[in-house]
Amino acid sequence: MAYEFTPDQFNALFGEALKAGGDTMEKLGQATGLFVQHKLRENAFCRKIVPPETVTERECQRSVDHDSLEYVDDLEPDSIAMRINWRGEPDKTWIMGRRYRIQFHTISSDQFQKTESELRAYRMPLTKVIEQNIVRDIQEQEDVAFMDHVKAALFLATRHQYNKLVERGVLATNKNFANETELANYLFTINKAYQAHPWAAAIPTAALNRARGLHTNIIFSDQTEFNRIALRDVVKICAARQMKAKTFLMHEYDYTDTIAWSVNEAGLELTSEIVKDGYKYTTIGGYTYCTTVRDNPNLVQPGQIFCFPSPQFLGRFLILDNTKFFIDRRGRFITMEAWEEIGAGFGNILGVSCLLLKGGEVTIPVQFQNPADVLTGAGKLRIINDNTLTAIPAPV
Amino acid sequence: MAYDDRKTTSLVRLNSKISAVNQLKLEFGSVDVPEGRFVKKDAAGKAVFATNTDYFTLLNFLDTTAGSSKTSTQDKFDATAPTITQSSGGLTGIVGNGTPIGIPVTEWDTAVMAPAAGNLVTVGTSGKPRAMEVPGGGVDPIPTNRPFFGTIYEVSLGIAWFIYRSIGTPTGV
Repeated sequence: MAYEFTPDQFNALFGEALKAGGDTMEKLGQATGLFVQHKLRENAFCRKIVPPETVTERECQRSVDHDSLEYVDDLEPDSIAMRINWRGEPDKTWIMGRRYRIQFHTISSDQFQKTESELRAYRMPLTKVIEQNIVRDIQEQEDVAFMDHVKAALFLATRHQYNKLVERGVLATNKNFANETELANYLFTINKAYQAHPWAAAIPTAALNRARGLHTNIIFSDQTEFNRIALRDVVKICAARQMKAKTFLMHEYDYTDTIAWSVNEAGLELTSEIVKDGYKYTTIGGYTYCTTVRDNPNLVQPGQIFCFPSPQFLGRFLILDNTKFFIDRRGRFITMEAWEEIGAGFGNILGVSCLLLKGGEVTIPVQFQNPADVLTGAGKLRIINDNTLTAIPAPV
Repeated sequence: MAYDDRKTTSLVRLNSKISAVNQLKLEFGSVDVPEGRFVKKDAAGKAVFATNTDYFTLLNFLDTTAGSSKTSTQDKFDATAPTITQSSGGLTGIVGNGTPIGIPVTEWDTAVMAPAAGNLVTVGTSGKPRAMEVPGGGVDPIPTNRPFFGTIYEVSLGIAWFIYRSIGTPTGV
């Protein structure tokens, strides 16, 4: 149960604890820890996409290579059925599942230091310092780590889907993307050999044939604003991967497009509500949404709409040590620090998807391979849904 | 007794309280960095091996294969898919300020000579520590203006101990 403190009460407790030290300081640490935890749950968007699960040391494995813990999670084994006649019997299969490991790491705030004398110069409540300087840092790093893997998954999932279509004979070409031109050709024209590497010329409008959810996990929308058409296109990606979309994520900048939804998008009744109170439901089209206002290019930028399937098709977010808060006074010096031990892993990256509105862009890590699976390049690729089709994706 | 028979400590022996050692965080870059190698930050703040002309080095304190240093994204349904590796906790670089450090001789760049007491510590291949003799030495004397980062004071039980400084001292100046 979380303790509730007003800023005044908390500041009074803080001052008292600084003088008394000992048990009072520990109590303050516990109370602040609970306070910090509450805010984290509210603010980190990755926790809304993959709900955190608390694990204990007993559920984890010790690594034989180094002094840290790992959590081993199972992947569903694939299976098939077959049609046989009355005298036949089915093929025999020795079943074996797959596993993947999730490694833990620490996210820590800076160790903030200040003298008691200098703290007196502040008019703002100390709780604000804690919230703004410590909680925000930790929650943002959680989301940064999450989005790093989401963006890596976008490339791998697109590669997977492309190779699957090649294997099926839907695309009459060879597997893998050997360089950024092949990937861009595919995304713009569904033909990775459209033009030679390096990217030579803008694609004429007549040749434009943007890859859709059936082909790729990164799609270029012809919509300039967030609406139900954009949402439809991005959730289709999950449908084409034999799973159902659950949550989509976008910047608050694009979410505000809902305010301008007219009768055409929302119907008369809903439009009346929007005009008065804004869009106030937790789902759109049955899909949960979450937004962020953070201005951090490593997270979500305007023009990007990410979509995720249910956690059972995605992975796990594990908390080994919930956020802890440390506060200490030694002489005149006050030290504050918070940290947590978490681990997250995607066991299935195939449903992670992104739609770029017109003008939107996303930078993703890439590893290019030739058709023989030999690595031919690596780095980051800036992919732009440019309205005029003149943008050349450039390695970063 | 060889060092690996008494595995009670990490590869980098740190003869100092951890609270007395300054550290800098580096982001994992594109290369794995074993423990005990000299590293520096590139323009993006990511860890790369230091070279023998650098004047500032950090000593990597934890191998990048440790789960808390880097994480990877994989397509678990395709064994031919590449692995995309990214920083998680990054690397911890020890900032040497007269810090006594011991590193097993097997981890040194010994292509020319093995470390011995009195040698100067420079950077070898792939950031490995390399022992060179003082100017005028017989086997492998340090060239003029080559920065060094400490002096070996003892080699025993397979461990070469030296006093580490992060800021390189150029010879012949």
